[in-house]
Amino acid sequence: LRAIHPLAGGNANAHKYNLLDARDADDAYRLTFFGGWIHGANGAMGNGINAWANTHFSELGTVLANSWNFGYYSRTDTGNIQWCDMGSFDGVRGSNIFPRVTIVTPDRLYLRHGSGGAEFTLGATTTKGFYQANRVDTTNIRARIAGSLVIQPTPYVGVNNLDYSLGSLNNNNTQQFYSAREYGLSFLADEGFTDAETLDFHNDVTALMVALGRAV
Amino acid sequence: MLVARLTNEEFEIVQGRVFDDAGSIYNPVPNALGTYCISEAEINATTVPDLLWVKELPLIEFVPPPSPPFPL
Repeated sequence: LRAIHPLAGGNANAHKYNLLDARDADDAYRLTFFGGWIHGANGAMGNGINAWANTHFSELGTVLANSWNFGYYSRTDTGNIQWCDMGSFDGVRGSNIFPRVTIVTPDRLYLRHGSGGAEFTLGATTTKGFYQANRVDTTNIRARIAGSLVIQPTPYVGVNNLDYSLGSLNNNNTQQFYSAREYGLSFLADEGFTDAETLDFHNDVTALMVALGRAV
Repeated sequence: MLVARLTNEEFEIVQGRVFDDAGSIYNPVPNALGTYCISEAEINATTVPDLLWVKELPLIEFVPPPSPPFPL
């Protein structure tokens, strides 16, 4: 793990810090907030217009080849809407999460992970819970969404050098698809997790959300 | 969602500026007419003394521009 942003403390100054490296520095993967975030006791919420955060985490030179993990805890349930909660895309390679959108079919999770594109066949009926976009090989994404293991055959095409955004998509250094969901935590891992590890991490994060009184 | 419209001069002043003690940065975005706007949340959170004038800007409902094509 490179970063866990617990988004605890109720204000922007507290929410920017990485629990694993609490320096106030970009190379510590602290969050830099842009635009109109609402910070509160349950975390940080975007506004769907211009709020995003730079995680200062890019894949190139950071992650293992075809093996890393990233994600967030969402406290907000929405219908089909083109809001990206986290990630980047350079036009060819990307890693990002649109938890519930209509691209071809309604109610689909659209998730990339070192890939060109992937519309999960998994039906998405909620956008709440802990999202892990995990990969450990060139063949499959092995995500864990709100506790459930989701395996999607998706060819690995490589990494890009764009910083991951939280609350929007970093599309070639242009922020798009701003989200207005509320986040209770985000994380960045430079190595993929086994299925057992994603389950353990889900349980640990869920327990933390319960302890903070912000579980959904 | 409420926002304040910016003149070109105001846009040049706030674009990329830190507005609070956490290092949060303004992110003006265009509305449907191409006029740059900042959000009510940015205005409310502004504490930097020479930027407090943003609190006097009138608030209006944001009319978004068309969505960009989905990145397939």
